Amino acid sequence: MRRVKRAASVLVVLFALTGVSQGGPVTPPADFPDQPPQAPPLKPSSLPSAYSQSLDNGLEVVVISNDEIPWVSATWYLLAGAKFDPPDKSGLANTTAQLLHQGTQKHTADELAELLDYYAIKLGGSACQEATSVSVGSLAKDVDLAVGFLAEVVRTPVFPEREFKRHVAQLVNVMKIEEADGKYWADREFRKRVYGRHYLGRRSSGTSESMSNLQQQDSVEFHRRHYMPNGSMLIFSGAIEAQAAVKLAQKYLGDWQPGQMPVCEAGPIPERQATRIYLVDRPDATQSQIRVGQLGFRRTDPEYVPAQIFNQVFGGSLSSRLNSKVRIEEGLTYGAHGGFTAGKEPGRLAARTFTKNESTAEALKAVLSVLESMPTEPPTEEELSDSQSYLTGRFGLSLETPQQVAAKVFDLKFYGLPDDYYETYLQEINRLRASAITSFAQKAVDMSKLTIVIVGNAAEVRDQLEEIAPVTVVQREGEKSID
Amino acid sequence: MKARHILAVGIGLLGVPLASAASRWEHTDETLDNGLRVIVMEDHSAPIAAVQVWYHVGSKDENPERQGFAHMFEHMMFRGTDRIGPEDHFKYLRRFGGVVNGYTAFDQTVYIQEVPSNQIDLTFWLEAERMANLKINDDYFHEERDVVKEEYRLRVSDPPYGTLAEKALAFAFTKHPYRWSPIGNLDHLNATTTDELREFFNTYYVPNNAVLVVVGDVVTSEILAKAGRYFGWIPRADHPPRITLREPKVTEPRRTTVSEKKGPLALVAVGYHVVPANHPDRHALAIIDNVLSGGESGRVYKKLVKDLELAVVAGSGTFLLEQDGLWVIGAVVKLGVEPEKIEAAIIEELDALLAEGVTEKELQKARNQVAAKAVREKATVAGKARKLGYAAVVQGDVDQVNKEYDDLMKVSRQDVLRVAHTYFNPQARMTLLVKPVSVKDRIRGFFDKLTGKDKPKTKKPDSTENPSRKDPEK
Repeated sequence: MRRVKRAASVLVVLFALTGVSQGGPVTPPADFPDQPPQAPPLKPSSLPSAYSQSLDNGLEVVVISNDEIPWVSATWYLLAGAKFDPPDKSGLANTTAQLLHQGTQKHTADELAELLDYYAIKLGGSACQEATSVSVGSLAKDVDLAVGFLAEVVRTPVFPEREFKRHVAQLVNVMKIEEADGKYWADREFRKRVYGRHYLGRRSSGTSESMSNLQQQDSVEFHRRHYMPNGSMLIFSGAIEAQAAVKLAQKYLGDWQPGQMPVCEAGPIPERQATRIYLVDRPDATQSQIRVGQLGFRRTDPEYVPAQIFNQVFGGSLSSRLNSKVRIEEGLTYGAHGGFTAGKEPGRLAARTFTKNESTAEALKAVLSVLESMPTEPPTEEELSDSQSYLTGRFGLSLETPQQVAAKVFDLKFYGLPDDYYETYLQEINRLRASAITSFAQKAVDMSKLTIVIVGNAAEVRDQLEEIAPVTVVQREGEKSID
Repeated sequence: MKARHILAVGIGLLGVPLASAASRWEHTDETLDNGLRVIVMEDHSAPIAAVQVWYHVGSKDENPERQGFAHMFEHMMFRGTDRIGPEDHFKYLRRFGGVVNGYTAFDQTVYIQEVPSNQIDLTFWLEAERMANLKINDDYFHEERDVVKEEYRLRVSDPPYGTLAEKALAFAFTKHPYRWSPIGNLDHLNATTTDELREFFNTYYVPNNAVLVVVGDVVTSEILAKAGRYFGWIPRADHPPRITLREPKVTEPRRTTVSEKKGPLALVAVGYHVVPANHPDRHALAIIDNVLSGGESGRVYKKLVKDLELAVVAGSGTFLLEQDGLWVIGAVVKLGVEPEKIEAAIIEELDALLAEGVTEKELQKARNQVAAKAVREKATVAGKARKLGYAAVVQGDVDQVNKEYDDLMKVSRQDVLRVAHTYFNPQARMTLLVKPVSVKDRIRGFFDKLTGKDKPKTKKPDSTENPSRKDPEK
């Protein structure tokens, strides 16, 4: 170090003598590389192993032990979510999960809040379309208490009338703020247009109208029908040994009786329709929100792997084709990104961006032109290898905390993928050729059947859009209730 | 459970910090001859490293007629040099799964990387290249300015409450450059020449105004050697000018009402100027925040949201900056509730705090939360680097990372009372109400304009157009 410092100071003196000062061109020393220094990629990391054991009642306990910091998280996953919400009561599963700690057979909401805060235990629940999750996090020394609280709230919540009403009113109020935002309407309308009446067409957190339909009894009933140990999973991550974790699960959840899991009868997902623009009018907008996409495939479908490269090339990074075109080349936006997502049910392709009112059509055309390039212009050698090495390296970098590992382990279990899935997946990613990405794009992208949603000032942008595709102007649902 | 309860309280009373709570931050802090400070902390738990360059320049250092320069550089810094093409900084690091980002605050601009730990050379090379040789030309500036304009619409003009942060800053600060926010002013940027930008860069983006923070699976001596090799040759510049102006004390209560066109709910905020980020009284303020809004049992949340059902969200927070600080207590008002009702309830809470301070049990609860936070903030290398950088640049003392925990644990009930009485003086109170403009009001306004009845309207608060984009340490 000292030698380096001395060398550096000699240089500084030299620069001073030669009259080179700040701002002028500075010649770097000979040992400053002219080209980016090269180091080989690190050997891809593998997923740390997880311990797994099922209790007699069917609850699976999974443990990822890592004692780097004295903190333990435990997340309980129930495979029932918003897909069971009645269509006019969307938001029920999520509200139910959020209300679990607002009163149990043992404690009132205030008592629980006091205890949790006193021990600095973080506890909270939420639901997406497919699942409900309830998480608790605590200092390692308090893990027994924490799991006790988790079990108490998932097993014996009472949803007191007053807490229920207050919480729903709170959510409805907050949604009024969301509903004043263009991004919200763009995502909501896009989802609805792609999935129609299927449960994926609705928001798992509901809307201010659907939430206003909820009654306390709905949560009581949702809990009674769906919350059960069988088919559920409790994932521990952090400073706890496997056997200690299993013991805790047994202590607090072992005597929970299994139940009969309801079956979800979801209607069909509509077929892709001929390209159309749905223009949601927002008269006070200064900027248009743009969504372009269509129905996709499932997480377990073979398309998933090439889609990961496709996503990188298309819209997965700042240097993707989409962002390069719309932001960097044309300066029309602050960000453009997109790609395929996939879940238990078919996912969707979605490209997202935004631009000022005047350039709405221009930005949309730019997005369409990039999407159109995907089936015809194969990834360049650089695009392909950059995407492959990114996905490989990213995997290694995303195993830093036990909670990150737990999320990956959950995915394996949730989608029924083998334990060595990630290793095989990374090998497959690295074997893919450009032609495979192109043929994926040819099959997966249909330019004649796109769903396009624009949220913006219809009076200003409608005419520009008519040139691109037929436009349907749609009213924001529940608009009248905003004011 | 009761036994544990008593035990925990007992430990608290004895003043013994809870077991295992705060292990030391073992870091090295060296300065190269050109003034670049290098802070390294080893963490071998995963093969990764966080590399952050903290420039001690933020929106407060801008010319009042040229707001938005620091933010402009957050964009320009990714356009490269003669050796680095416009997208290469991202591209080169993404090849290894790296994450690249940057943010601009009032006091600092931070460039962030998270990379596999064997890519330090590449990361240093990229950072050194742009520190020494950033390309600043008309084309790059104009392109990035267009991007900033879209960012501005996204964050300020378009969303509900988008213009509020800017209005709140201009209300709280009348003289100090904290009165504008980091995102910038589009009129100022439109009037800017590339030479002006270059001068700003040459003044502030110099090694003696930067701190390089590295946390991860690295060897300290190797990092110091590499820092010397990659950055050591970049010449030191004149010491950048610092803002010496301080915000005058508030000596009589200040109050304003802001009309909000897009946000449907009213807001209430009561605030006071408190202390800068390195002042010891911040610890008692943090304890007060914990007692008032640390979870659903916090006094303010419990009273306004749960018991009285007047608010949707309520709490308090301390916003610490290098040269000043604000303590704010506030709420998002439930539809149909008069904001003045909430204001009264807030004042009641403040009076109770001033009269009785906090209870021993509340203090212990706050300490337990502090202990848990001290553990959690060591979970990631990026989080550790952020805390080190903040201490070094904004607090001006990197060793705060080690002092903070003990100082927080030492706060007593008397300290809380003293600090509350020092800063929460009714004469220094600033009250901001935000009221949505309803459709009815908008229609009335339209007719008033037609009939000329709009003339004697209440004066709108000073409104330049920028919000606080990213709070420095939220």
